[in-house]
Amino acid sequence: MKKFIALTLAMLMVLSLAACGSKSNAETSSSTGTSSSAPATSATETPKTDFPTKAITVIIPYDAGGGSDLMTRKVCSIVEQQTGWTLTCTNVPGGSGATGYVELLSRKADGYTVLGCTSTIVTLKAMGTIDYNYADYDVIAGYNQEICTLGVNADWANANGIDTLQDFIDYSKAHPGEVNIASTAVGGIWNVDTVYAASVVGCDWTIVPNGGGATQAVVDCAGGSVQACTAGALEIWNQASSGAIKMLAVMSDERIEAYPDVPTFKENGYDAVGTTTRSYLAPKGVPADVLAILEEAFMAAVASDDFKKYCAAQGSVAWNTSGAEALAQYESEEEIFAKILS
Amino acid sequence: MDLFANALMSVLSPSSFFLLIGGVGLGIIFGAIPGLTATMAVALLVPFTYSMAPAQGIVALVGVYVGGIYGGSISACLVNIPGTPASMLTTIDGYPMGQRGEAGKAIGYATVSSFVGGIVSGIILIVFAGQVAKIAYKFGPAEYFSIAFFGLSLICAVSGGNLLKGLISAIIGLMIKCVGMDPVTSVSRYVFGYTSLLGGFTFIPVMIGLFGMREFLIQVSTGRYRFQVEQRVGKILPSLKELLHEKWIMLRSGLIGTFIGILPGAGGPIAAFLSYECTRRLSKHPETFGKGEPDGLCSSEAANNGVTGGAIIPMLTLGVPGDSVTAIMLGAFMVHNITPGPNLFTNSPDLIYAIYLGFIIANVLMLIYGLFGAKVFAKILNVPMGILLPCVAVLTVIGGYSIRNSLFDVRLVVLFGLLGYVMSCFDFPIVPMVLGLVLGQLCEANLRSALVISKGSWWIFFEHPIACVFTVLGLIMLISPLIAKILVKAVDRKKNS
Repeated sequence: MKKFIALTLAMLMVLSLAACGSKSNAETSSSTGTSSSAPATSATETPKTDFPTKAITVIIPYDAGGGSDLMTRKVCSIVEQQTGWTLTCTNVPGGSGATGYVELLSRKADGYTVLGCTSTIVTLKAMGTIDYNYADYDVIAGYNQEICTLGVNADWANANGIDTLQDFIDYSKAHPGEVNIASTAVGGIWNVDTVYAASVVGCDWTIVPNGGGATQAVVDCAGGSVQACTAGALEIWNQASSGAIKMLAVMSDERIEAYPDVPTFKENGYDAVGTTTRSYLAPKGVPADVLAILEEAFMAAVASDDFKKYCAAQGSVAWNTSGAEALAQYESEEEIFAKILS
Repeated sequence: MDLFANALMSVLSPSSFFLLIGGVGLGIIFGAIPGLTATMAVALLVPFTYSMAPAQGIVALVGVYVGGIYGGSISACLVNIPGTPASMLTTIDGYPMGQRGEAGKAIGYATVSSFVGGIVSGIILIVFAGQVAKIAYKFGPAEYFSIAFFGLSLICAVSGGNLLKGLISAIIGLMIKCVGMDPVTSVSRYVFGYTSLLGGFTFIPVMIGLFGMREFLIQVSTGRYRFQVEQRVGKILPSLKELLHEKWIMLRSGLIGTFIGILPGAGGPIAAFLSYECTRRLSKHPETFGKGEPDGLCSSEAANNGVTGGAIIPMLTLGVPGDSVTAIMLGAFMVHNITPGPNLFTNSPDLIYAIYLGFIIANVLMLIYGLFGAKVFAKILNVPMGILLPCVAVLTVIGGYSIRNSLFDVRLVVLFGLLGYVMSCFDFPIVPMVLGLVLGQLCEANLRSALVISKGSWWIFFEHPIACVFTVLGLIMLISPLIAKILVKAVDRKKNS
């Protein structure tokens, strides 16, 4: 009797493990139940292609709760609202996105698996970390750009009469090697942008990489361990609003809506543009009509007021572009990054 | 006063209160199941908060956080597997207590300590948030490194008596930490082409493997599971007198926990470790630690719940997360288009008060859940180990998978389980190894950042006052056993001559 019970329990355990193991099966089986309305609404634009008929998996190559994760989920939720499709987001973090990017390549190019990426899709190959970059994927659409921003410790700036970007550059040139700028790890987007800016501006900045990421770099600057820092606009703004940091300039083409008083590097005569560009990718080889449907849906979501407001609150830019435009952006970013990272 | 009244109304409104009760309960369950952690619980719950009012949603998350950190102690005491990383130190004294038949007592101590730790951090949060947040500013790379160095120097103590093996274990932990992308230069180290390893060995599967899978393997190989420990049936909870005996330890540990929580980047395990160490070294009977000493259990649990309130402080005041859970909570704020930071206090004071109140009430709920649940939890140990252990093993596998939806991580669970088993066979303690992993992260990245700032000068660790204090303390800790030995030998020689 005991043996029989033991055997049954063992079988149950093994079966439950097997059920949990085949994740994609579980997802489609649970979501086809809920997305019974999907086929009807999707067939409006291109009556010939019946896409999607089941849930679309969105791989998020970052940790849950992070900035990129939330933004990707926001766009997905808007797409769901607008089209009635079912999008299932799943996090596959690791290596600044590398794990997720490689994972996407192992999926079928049928349009049912997509991924929300950042500019690390350009930098990772340039650094030699992985062998793939944006050229190995189909770019569906771009949706967001976050701008590299320069901030300085307020007390230090006041003590040295630094009020504007030009003041800062003049000081740096007068005191070569003295100014420390905290940023992310080497190869991280903000770090690369800072190196690029340094070369455009012609300053000898010591870039201090911070293993704790952009947020820690900004706190270090606010606390005075370093004189300046570079990070996304929102992270710098958080400390700037309390007066601990002065937001000197942003590395975008135009001033950011949310921060109309902060000038760009371009205005000051320095053509330094540094952004992280977020877009959606699919494995290469997705049929053109399916790609077009996806592109249209994502672009519509990005164009929505809801998303624009969300981006404005983050201090980033809702970037409504087609797949081709996003691809071109990555190509131009690669030119800049490759020079710095090689 | 008006604001306070409003906040009270909103938090105690039926729907919010219900959410809070559910949140704390859910947190405890997630925390208690080895393989599911407080961080995961909060991450899973965030999407559900989208549709709620900000105050409701965030207060619910706070409840899950508080419950989750406490919940880890339950499995730590019952099956020697920390339910969340913060409860690692609780296994050291909680499990032996359970094996003595005093599982209910262990959980009782853990509950009350967690409550005290949480309330202490809550008071500091409410009264001193603004001033205390400034501490976070004072900690730059040099300061963080010095704390990590100090922590590493203390590791000798949790070696369970064998200093050499403890140090070897810690060094193995540090070496394991080196696998992955270098935190500063992003160069891949020891990755061998596995993209899943680029971020290093994922911490939770490693911890689950080292504690959970290893425990499973030990019990099966030694056949220990066949012996049921008789649990006390009568007075299951510790008496009021016994609890009061621990009051200073709980308070002090709560303070240590709050302080560590305030530092962005340092969290539960570090707080529990430092507090455990502090208690052990100040104790009149250090040799009882590790064998089911209530002092040790209380200091670990009070500290890890002290982290909860402490971590919320920089999250609210600076917009900087104090630990991994608050990092996710920050995201929840963003979703509601609220930006935590210095402006939050002027823009949304009602939200702040709601969070304060919610935090305190969550701790009270946790106390209630814990005290009433202790009897039930203790009864779990009456289930034959032969049935309990396989369930735990399955949960560890699922837990390991669920962190990154990765089968690679499941292999990590098994791999580290085997490693932990082999280590145990040779009497190598595993807590130092995990501490090496945790502290190694803090140590390396900050050491190198600090050296970049100082242009290579090591004096930076003595020039910054806070860094100097901890560095010197660390050096003293490292050198003193050696000096003590030399002195003892000299005294002996004198005596004999």
